[in-house]
Amino acid sequence: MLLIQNAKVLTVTNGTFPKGDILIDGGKIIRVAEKIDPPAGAELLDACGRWVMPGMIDCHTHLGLDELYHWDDINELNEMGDPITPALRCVDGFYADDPAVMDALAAGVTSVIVHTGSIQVISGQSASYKLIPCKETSKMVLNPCVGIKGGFGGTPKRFYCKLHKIPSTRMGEAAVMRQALADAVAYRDGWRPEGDGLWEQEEKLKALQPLINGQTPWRVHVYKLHDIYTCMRIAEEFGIRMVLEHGGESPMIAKQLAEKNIYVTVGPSGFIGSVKPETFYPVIEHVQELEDAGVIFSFQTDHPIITVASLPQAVAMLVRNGLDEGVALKALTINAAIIMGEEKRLGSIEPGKDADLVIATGSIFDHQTFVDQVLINGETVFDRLTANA
Amino acid sequence: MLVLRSNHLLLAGEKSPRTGMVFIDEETGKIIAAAPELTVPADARVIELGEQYVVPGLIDCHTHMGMDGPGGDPVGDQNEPYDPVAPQLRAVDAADFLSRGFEAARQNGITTVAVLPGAYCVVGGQVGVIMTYSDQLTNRILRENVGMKCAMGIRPRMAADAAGISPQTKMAVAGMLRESMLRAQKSLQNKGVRRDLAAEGWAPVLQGKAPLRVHAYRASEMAVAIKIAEEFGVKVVFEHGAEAMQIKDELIRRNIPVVCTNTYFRAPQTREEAAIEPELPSRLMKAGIRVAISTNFPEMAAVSLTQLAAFNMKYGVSWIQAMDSITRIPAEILGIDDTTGTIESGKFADLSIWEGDPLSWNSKPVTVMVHGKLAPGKGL
Repeated sequence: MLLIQNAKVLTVTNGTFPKGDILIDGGKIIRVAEKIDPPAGAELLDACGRWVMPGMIDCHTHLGLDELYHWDDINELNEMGDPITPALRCVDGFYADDPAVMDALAAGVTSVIVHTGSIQVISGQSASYKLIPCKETSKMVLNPCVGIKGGFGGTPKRFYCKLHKIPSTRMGEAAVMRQALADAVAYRDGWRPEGDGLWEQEEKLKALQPLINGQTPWRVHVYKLHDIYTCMRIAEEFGIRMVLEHGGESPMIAKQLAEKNIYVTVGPSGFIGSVKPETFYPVIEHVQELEDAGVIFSFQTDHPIITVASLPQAVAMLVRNGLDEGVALKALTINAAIIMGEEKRLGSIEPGKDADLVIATGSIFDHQTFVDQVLINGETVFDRLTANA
Repeated sequence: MLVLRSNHLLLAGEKSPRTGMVFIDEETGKIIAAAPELTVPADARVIELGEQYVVPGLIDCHTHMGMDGPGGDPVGDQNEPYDPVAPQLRAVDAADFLSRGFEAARQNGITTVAVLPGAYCVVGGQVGVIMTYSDQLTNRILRENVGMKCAMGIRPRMAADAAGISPQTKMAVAGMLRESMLRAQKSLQNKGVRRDLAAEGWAPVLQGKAPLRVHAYRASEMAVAIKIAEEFGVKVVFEHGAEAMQIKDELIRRNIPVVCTNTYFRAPQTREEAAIEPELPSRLMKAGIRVAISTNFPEMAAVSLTQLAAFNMKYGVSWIQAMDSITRIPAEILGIDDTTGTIESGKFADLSIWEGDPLSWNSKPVTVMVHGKLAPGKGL
């Protein structure tokens, strides 16, 4: 049992306790109150007025796949050739001792979604992880198939046209996606493929079943409005759920997205300068429109485009320029948990949820704040005073 | 005459903002006077800024703003891929100063942007300076040649390898740099009727008026660059300078500044970057090295400049040191400190106006003034 005392507790879902206590047992939050009498035998952690918030979640990274120092020249994200490769699994490439794991913890990011690439129309099965420092990925995995990932719009065609293959156009991207989904439906209904590479073909079709059955969403990298509309049409045609990765011009149709319960993970365009023309729309200036319309959105670093450890400071750019701090915090915690499908366990300081907590010297958006301690499942995974310099 | 009055004005030579006034000649765009107390002439137009902060216009001395080309190609307009020694190239000839990056820079308090060729060439070309606002578009380019961009490290070798040309080795990088400077020296000594644009490009550096802007990470490579600079009697500035602490005594002795680009948000791409960490700029500053902070746009958006400077205060750097790293010091590096970088009489009225302290995390930028012209902004 652990009792955190005298903290400024940002529960996210139940307001902020200017001074409060958090009781933790068995890795879970048991109670949050202004004052909790220390149970016998409980370890006491005096926060001394420091801020305690839920561990933050980055919904779009390539952590553990892309290697630091080599991510520019080694490909771990896109198996080029066949633009549809849903049988490939993030968990088969992920390496648990990526140094970026500790970097992330030191900044208060405790869980991530790791995606396969965006050059493929479907690149594979993305996975979600808690950033527990260890060498065994099985201890870290939350969901080995948290989404079927792919790219749409300017990216796949830019690479496939160099291979002289479909999709070299947006029409081509839509067609290969729709054919793949149609075949997955046919497979569900009893059809079996014929010809060469039967095992491969069947694995492909099997891998798409959770998508067409509604178990897992299509997480699609997309920017332009007309591309978002195409994806929405495809999603409606096949009755699949969808999350917009980056989401570019999504604020333009915020109301529609809210009505259809389509989530958005915003970034890193705006945190970084835009180079690709399809990313020119200044989405970070329009995030309030997503909030006002009731869209569930979060933020992403697309690590290592910017380092996962810079997630809160990236969002701080929006807070400085007017986004409400509470909205920003909500996006990084409970919204992100919903987008990850783990809202029952993560994203807020409430009884019953995992004790994934960040103890910091101030607002996480203040560049002068230090993250002192991070807990996952009630255990300290980062301690600034004992960490290597 | 235009008068700005504020309760938080950072005057040249002072360590923090205070109550003060700036008198501006609207015709020349220059500051006539800047002081805590001044007698306001009867016919002056006064803008009362109250609690808004007025600091020198922010300067980003290392960007590739507007140089990306239409297709989003990673090389874009930053480097000639088949011409690793190209001193005749000028970044201002590639930079689209109407591109959104400049507008965003202006909206985030930046008045002055240096545009540099990329790091894929040994000698990439001439560094230029572009203002983020002006009443006439033709006035945007302030300077065409304030230094020569050179690159050590892995990048020029990787790019040349991909193109099937030299340099493939570090020896060749150093050799090609020296050869280029030697050629230019000779050409300038024997000026003929036919103009040599490459030699003209080198002239400010060879004459000691502008620096070599050397992209380098490893201490060993910086040491090579220092030797070459000494051979030709030229000034050096290091870009990135990951291992600069290993040669800090040399840097201090020779007054060599370091431009630290995006040390906070970057996930390292190559082994040579290993020594880069968020604490690097503050270590260098505390060792007495002049440090300029930069976004390396488009690596980071312009909005991050003040944040990148402010992080250093977390590690013990003072407010004025952080402020200097995005005003006075980049002005010195660009050789434009005679006309900008601090708020004092005789310099251009290049100012950055904020709702609160620009180095605090929740102060919004209001607008900028460039050469005495106030850009459109809220609440003014």
